[in-house]
Amino acid sequence: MRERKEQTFFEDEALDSAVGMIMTLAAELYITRDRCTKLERILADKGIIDPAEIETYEPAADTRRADALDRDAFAAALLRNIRGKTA
Amino acid sequence: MKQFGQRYDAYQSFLLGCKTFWLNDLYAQVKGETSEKLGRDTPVSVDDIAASLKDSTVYKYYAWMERHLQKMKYSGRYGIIPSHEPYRAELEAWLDQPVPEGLLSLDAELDLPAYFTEIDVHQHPGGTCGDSLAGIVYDRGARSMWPAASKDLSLHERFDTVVKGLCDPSRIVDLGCGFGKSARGIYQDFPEAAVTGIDISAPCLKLAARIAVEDDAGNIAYRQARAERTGLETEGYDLVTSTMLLHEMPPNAVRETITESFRLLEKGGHAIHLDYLAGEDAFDRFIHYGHGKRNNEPYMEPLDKMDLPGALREAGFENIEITPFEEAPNALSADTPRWRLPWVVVAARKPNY
Repeated sequence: MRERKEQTFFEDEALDSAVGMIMTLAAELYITRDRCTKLERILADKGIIDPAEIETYEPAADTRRADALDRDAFAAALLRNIRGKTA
Repeated sequence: MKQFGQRYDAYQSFLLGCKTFWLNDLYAQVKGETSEKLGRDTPVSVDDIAASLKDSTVYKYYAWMERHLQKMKYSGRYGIIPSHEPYRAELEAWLDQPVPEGLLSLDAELDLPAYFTEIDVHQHPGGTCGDSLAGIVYDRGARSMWPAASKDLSLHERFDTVVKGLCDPSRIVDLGCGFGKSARGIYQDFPEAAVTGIDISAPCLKLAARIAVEDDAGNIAYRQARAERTGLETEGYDLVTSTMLLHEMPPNAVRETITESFRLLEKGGHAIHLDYLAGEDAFDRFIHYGHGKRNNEPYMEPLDKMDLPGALREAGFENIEITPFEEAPNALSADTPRWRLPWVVVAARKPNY
């Protein structure tokens, strides 16, 4: 895939990149809100959890490792905006 | 259509929400700011508007959002392209299934035009000709591009209604048919007609053919060729049409396509194109030209500036009419200022002598 110089719209190219990071974060935030809302509704409807228990939850080690991989992919998606390329 | 899960859906839904804000609120604010600076009744030029908005912060965000919301749709962690990648082998096998004889004619030696392959049109990475899944990606992208209009096929039904008001065709060519979104409407709305869809993209045509198989359509044939040189029979058709094709071509290619259309049509045949022309309003032109630049559609402005009726006349057409097209209910209403593409129907007729 060809990479080209990305268009910019602000005087300082850094601001274009920063807005990109904000938008990526906002998208991830929205996805997370959507996911959490659905999950909590399902679990509460089935009587599996008391929503208050979420505040005291502690993950196991393998769950922590899976979370770390997910975190790395999240970080890569966030920071790719800095590269200033179309692809 | 492949389902990619709740995270993909939530991400694309978020982008659609942002785009809705952009085309309503941000557009209205940019338009209002322009009116305040230049006055509502003073004749102005595109350059006047560009100068007045040069230091406008809201216009910079408007431009950024226009560019990057589209880019985010395709790329990034939950973009359309990476979301298809895990299913590549399965989707390629689905596309490569045999189709009934005569439905799909590909030309591996076709000389693809540089004016199309050298840009990532609509910011579709790699464009619509490159990757084997480009047609599937384009299909997915086209369904979510504009919140107000194109999530379904109603736009094409509305266009076909216009066509029915002008003629009753039996042999139709659809130039630049892509993955068959327009051609599908035509072969369904004109079930007695024989329809030929022309496009340069093999990945798009393969998808179009698969859709036709699933529709059990018996009146469509897809052929890989350039609109300027279709290789079809001279005077073999009574309608040549295109949807969103002309603005993807430089003016010389538009002229060649018009000449080719004239060759294809029998005497009295109709050429009817659905495309974009911004009209006389300077603000509309400023927004339209900016959209072309920001969305990798560099020939929108040249098409708007070329003498399209003159090119049709020069090719031999008569009864040339360019009329606004309402792509969705109340889209042309002035009551709600919102961004929209300036749809028009360009209709002309080959003399009946």
